Amino acid sequence: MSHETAAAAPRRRRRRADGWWPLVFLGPLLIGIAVFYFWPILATVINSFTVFGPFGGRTFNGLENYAQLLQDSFISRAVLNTLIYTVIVLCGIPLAVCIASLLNQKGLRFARFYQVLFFLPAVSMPVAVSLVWRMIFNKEFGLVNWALSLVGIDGPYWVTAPWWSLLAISIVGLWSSLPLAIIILGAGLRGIPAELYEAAQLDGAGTVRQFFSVTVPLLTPSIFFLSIITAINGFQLFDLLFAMMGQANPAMADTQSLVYLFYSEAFRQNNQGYASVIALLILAIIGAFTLLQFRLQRRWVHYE
Amino acid sequence: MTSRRTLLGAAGVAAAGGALALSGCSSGGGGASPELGAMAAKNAKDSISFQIWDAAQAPAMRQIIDAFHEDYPGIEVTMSIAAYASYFERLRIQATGDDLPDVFWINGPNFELYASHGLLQDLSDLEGFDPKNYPENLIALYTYDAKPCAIPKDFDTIGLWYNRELLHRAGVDAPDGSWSWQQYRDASEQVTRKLRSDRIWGNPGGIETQAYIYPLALQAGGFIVSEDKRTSGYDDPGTLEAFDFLRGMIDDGIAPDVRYTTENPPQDLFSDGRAALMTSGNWQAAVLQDSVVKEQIDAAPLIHGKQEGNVIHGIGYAMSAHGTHKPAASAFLSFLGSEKAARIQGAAGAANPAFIGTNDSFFDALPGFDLELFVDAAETALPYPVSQNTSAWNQLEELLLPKIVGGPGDVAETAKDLADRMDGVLADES
Repeated sequence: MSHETAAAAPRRRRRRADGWWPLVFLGPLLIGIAVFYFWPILATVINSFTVFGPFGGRTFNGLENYAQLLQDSFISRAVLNTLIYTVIVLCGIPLAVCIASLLNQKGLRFARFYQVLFFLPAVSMPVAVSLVWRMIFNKEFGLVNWALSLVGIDGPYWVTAPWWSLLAISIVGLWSSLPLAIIILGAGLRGIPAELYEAAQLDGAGTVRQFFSVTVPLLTPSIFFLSIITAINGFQLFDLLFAMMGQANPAMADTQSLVYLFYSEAFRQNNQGYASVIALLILAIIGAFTLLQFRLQRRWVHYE
Repeated sequence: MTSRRTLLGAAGVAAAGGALALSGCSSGGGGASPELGAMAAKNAKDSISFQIWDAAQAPAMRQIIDAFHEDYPGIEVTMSIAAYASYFERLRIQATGDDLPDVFWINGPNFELYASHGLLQDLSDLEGFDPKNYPENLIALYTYDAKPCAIPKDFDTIGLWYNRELLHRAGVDAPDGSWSWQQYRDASEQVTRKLRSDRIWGNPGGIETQAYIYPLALQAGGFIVSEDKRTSGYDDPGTLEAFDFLRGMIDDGIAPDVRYTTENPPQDLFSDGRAALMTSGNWQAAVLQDSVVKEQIDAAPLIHGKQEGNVIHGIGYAMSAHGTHKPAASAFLSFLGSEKAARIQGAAGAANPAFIGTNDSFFDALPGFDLELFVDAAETALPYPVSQNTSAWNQLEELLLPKIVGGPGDVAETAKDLADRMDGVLADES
């Protein structure tokens, strides 16, 4: 559009015409973002080089917090736990694709009712949900172990044994991430033109073939969006873990997530400096993972 | 360029903040006078804030406020309750913002942190406050730099609670106060084996620090934190002996393992009649009074190891050193520390008052149990283990004690991990 020869003058004039109006409109938003997003990130970077006094006051301690990060055995375990959790929760997306397409079938009776049913986890309080699941996973009286006992299996301590606890939390995480995924995929499904299915039918494609050759490829933008959001949420695992594990849990040392470590350093041990380093580590991991996803999307996401 | 200026600006903020660090209880600062000053007159008009964490004790505190109001009709006391789990997070934020309540509860693990930063008023000159009225080890707990900075409110020591009926069913004699560790283990084993089909345990296990792990570690000659507050005692041979004792009972199926007690807390097991013995404090009296096993239980003196190792702790009443209502706060604090307030507290069954000679008010409120033994235990009990930043290593305990006592992993190895981490926290204390 803009060729150098075409017009230096009109371009300059247009710029002047825009003047400060864009700033007026963007200003409130930008100030908000700067104050509530950029400044905290910058402050976190600064804090990561300091050690805090118990009642305020910081002193510079160089790279000591970073050195501590490399030696802390809790950190490596927390990274592993967070990754495992995120991967398991990401497995919920294929499941959500199936459920969403079943819900969007033409002529499905009670479709609205099912939609409400599947959306319920999203409107329930996370802490309440966690406490209910904690009961479901109880070793002695829980529903899960009762069901297992019917087929002759002596169920494990789901919430208080290492690894099992992570699995239990991941299952609940997956379950509570489904509603949002189903809503977004449902919207994506409604955006697929009916002609495509008709054409596919004419070409002799059955339901399964239609699902894999029409539905899934055209849903990839929604799936991509979901995988980004779900992964970011996964890396921020905290409230579920906190509420489901409870106090003095023997599995806690082996189940901590990165954000949980951040919380306990910042607010329980009053190590805001070290906690800032953990926060930056979380930021870096999320950034790297998201970048990777954007790179990989070129291979599998189809935009029309 | 911008970032550099911002960095410099931040450094300035940091330097200004650093100036806030003070030393010594009551050394003042923040504009208010460090001196306690005169106490309010009876006709004074003012309003002060008072903060506590235990909703169960709120009625007793309200009665005390009402009684205070009779003497000082012009002074309003506004009480706020913050749940214990977040109480000290909140208090720290209030302290950082120089907005502490005028009068508030404090406990042993947190006392030194606040006192050493000059946030608690030196109470040496408080009218009507005489340290001789309280047990020595509690006054010691709340003394910083030779100055008393909080008034003991109540106290708790540990005893052996038992369920007569369950012991009888298993053919075990009730504890007579002379039990050794071995007798405790044998009794637990017999109950667990005999009553297994009813899902009843001899003792309910668990990893309660104050009620179980601290006393046993001290009795075995171990320690939690060294006297100079520089080293953790969690890898001390004595402490390890206590851990081995606890882990042994779990491994041999005598006591429930930690995974089980996380889902079924020891206190619930005992008050539901599913455990026959439980080491715990006199604070249980008020709780057990309302339980289904009320008629079947009583308390006996704690079990004995190589040496005595009971632990005493109690809540303290403290005053903000930076408060702007000190005359009124002094009047209220002085009343809180009085015999009259102690008796109101005892009669409400809230907690055993710390004021010497007022125990009977508490005993009378909870007639079913022999609570005198907890008072006797206070005489020889050791102070609750604390350092400047106790809550930092308390959190490490919460994380690693379950693993030490319940596994998985080697007892000594995990205990060493806890000790090393705790040493790191202690080294950060100034």
